[in-house]
Amino acid sequence: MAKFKKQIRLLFDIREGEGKKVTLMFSLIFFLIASLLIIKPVRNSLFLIEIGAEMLPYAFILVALFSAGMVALFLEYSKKFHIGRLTRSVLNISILSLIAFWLLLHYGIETKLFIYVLYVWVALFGVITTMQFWLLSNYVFGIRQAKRLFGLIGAGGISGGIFGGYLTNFLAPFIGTKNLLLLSASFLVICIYLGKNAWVLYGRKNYSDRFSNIYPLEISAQEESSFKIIGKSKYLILLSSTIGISVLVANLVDYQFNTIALQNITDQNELTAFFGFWLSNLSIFSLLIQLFFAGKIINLFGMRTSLLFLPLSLLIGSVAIFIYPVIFSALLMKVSSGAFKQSINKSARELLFIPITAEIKNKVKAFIDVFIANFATGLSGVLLLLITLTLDFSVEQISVISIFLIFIWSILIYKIKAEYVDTFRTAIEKRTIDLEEQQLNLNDATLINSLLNVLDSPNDNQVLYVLSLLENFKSEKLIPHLKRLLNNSSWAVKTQILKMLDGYSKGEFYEPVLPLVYDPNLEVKINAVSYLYGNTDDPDNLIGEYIKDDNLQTKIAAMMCIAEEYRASSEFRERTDIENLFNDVFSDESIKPMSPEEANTMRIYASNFIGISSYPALYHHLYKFMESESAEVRKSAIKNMGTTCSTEFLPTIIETLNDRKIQKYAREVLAGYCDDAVPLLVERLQDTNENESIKNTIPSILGRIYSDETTHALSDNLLIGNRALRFEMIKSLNKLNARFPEIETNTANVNKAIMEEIEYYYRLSAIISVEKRQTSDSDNAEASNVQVQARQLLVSSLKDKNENTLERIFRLLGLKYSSSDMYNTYLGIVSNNLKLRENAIELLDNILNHKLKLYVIPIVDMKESEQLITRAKSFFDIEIMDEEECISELLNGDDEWLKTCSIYLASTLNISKYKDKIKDYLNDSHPVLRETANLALKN
Amino acid sequence: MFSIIEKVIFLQDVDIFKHILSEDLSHIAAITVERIVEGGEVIYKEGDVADSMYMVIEGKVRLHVGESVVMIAGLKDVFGAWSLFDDEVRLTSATAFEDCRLLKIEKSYMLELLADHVGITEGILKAMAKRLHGIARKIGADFDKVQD
Repeated sequence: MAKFKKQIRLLFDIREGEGKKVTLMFSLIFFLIASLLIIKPVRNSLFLIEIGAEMLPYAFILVALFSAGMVALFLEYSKKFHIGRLTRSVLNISILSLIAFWLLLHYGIETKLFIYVLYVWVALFGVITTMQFWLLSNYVFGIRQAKRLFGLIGAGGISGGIFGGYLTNFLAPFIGTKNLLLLSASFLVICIYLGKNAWVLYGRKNYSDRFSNIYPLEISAQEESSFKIIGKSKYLILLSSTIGISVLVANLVDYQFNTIALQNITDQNELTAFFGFWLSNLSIFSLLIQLFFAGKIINLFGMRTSLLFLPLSLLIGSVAIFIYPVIFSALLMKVSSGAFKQSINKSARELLFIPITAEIKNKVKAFIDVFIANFATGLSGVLLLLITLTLDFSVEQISVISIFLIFIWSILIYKIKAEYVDTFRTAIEKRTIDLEEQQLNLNDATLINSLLNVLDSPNDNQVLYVLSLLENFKSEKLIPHLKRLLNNSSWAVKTQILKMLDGYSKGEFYEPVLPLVYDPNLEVKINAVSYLYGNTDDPDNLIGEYIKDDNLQTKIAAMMCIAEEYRASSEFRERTDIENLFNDVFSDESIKPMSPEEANTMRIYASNFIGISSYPALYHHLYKFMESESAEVRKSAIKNMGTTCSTEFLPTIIETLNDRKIQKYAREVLAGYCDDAVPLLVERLQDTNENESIKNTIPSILGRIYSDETTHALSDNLLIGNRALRFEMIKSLNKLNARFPEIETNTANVNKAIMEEIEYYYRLSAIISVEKRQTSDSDNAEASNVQVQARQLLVSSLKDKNENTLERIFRLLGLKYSSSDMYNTYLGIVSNNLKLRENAIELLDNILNHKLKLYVIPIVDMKESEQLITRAKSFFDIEIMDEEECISELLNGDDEWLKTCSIYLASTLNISKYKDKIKDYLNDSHPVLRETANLALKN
Repeated sequence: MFSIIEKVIFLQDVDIFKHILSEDLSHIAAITVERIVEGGEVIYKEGDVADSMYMVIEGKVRLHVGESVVMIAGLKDVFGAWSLFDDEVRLTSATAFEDCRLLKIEKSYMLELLADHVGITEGILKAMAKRLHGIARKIGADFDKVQD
């Protein structure tokens, strides 16, 4: 069994630890597509029998209209809810809908409206479920895994199609068309289970990580629409036109196929079975071509010829229908074109997106795949109406239109090749192909040869870049390059190559890799041992030898390999005493004779070992490593606590937020726990006895966990704590708001916080005006130099605080209004450019509601003027004070630094007035406040 | 000896820290150490490891390469500041011209502070950008003069 598993892994390039997630996702798409391929024939036969083929154009138009709307709605919801929840909701709704459709059919309510609804619903179901499946896959698989495994996962979909289609063909005559809906619904129940597991086990963790670097206020104000971007690029115009015209022709062909099928089969159940049977056959051809020919054809003929396979098959089919409009011609056209469409054409089409930068691709791919495709579907409906109703074209005459469109399509393909090569050349030169985003296999022969040439470059960075592009390219052509580069001087190049060797015959590389076990670089060693372990006939013996090796690094490399194997293989877990192995290498006794540096290196790798293996009985070592004096050891322990995903470490990790040397890592690790860490973090945030510096770091962690829970937790607690904490919470809310603008924050709290900050601004402004007056008075009077300096310090500190308050006000306004509008307005207001300032105030005047305008406009328009103080009195009843009252107010406030500056000023005045209050700060935890209070009273 | 708040007042007028908020200056003040040097005493020598910067509170310091004087640093002047940003050795020697009171900042502490307080980093970058603008403007003016 183990050998069989290994064969499967090798065949499909599934690496250690990936088996379970591949099985889950493969099964999920299998059942999703099976379910779709059951209801599609049901829908088609119902429509053709009850409504008639001549009405299909209307259905096309309806599908186009509703798909565009639904996809837009889905994308909106995908911003608000995580994909795990969205998948569950869509599947639940689909199951309920299918049951409702069944009930309607069961009780004979088969109105025309119902059949139209079913037609559109099935089309939407197909678009939405497959879209969300691929979205989910993006989170379940890492980028590199996706590049390798998406082909296999896609084959799961095709297999599901075959299964679903044949099942329909087999069952329809026995159980009847309508009951197939319940079968489809039962498949969706399985999908819910699989989807939930995939999300909980794998997707959830990646979800937060992927969005951790988005900042709310840095959104570009001049974001271009996809339409404009496409319009500016000749390449993108050609690409969109090619895809659009292919959809247009596909719909004409679909119409012809359905009409001819209806002319030949009139019984509904037979028609359902017919569609099921031929859709399955089509899927089988797709699968066979995809598995055995697609890569080779693209490799051999290149991208342009590969793209021509589909139009060519459609051309032959159209000519056949034109001459002999019989069922055989229709099948020839449908099956051959369908098989090429899902295999060669799909792969070659994806190649067209490679030279586009990730940023542009993100903006235009969905637009092309969804909008352009739907637009073309709608257009095909209109075209069909025109030619069948107005011009009275027969089925065979439609072929003339198809042939004409195929001619244009071929010209577009011819033209796109030249643009493709140019665009790719520029992209390589500028290095704009984003490896992290790139999820495609490189199959085009022209491109591969140019990339292989770069591997001879003396520039290691270029070599590494191309190696990353070729990571999933398995070819004989690459072997000599890989062998040569194993002797490269760069450790990074060697490591990259060792990671690429899976899938090649062990005879090719086993010997060349052997010496790398003794490479001076530990990363190279670890990867070399791992490769040898996976490719030897006696892995246990090999690893046993390396563990006994005198070289410390070889020993570590062997242990890392064991940890990986332990995590990935249940069989290995059963036969291995991991604790014993750990103690043999990493125990205190083993480490004792080593130098302090070596001992710390061992502790770091011991942490890695525990993290990777995630064996609970070893966890206590991580706590021990946290007591190490070495920050590197503590850092490694923290990171590996996170790797285990065990919540028992959460309190320990939170405590380290106070450790300046490792707090950065603790923040990352806590964010990686996602929703699991939220309850404890919120509890600590609300705890009045919690250490202030720990408290202040919690909002930024919550801001990196993208869920509605964190948004609610932050906005609900917005009014607790001091202003520094509030500032952190607002920043995190801004970040969350930019990512999920639809999640509602606690509006009441935001409004309250805005008004409180505005009042604070007015209050500080009033004090500034008093102190500024005192400063000018003291210039004339007999004030000591120290007193003048102390007052100036207080004034500048108050101004600093007001600047901070202004930023908080605008960040809070960004939660209420458009965050980019508020950010731009804020930049304008703090700018020294008068024109910018005026424009910003004008914009603000037009955006804010009446009440806020009343309070905010004076702040930005009458900075520190007398009018502002008058407003302070009328708005908040802030009285004009003297200096003594100002100092007292600041001493009673919540800002440590303003208290410090006030005490310093008080010490130059009549200190006795403030003595009692200052005494309160003699033992304060704020060091500067404490020192200043002590000095003030001593003097 | 200066208290932290007195150091803040001093730092407010030091060119490189002019764009930093007063509260953030208190963090810098907390890592400064006051150092008294007698006239003629060598503070550091050309080729020494550059591990700290200095500010003059009282007195004057001579910066020189061999015997040729590069600059005399007086009240609130900063010297050795580049040590914060590169790993090169000292390019000049610094010798007290007269009895001096200096504020010293260790590079390692300063780097930690810069990592923790974005506001401080931003303020220093702003000051350096202004200085570079000034130099560029001066070079431009000199170039114009040569052209004339």
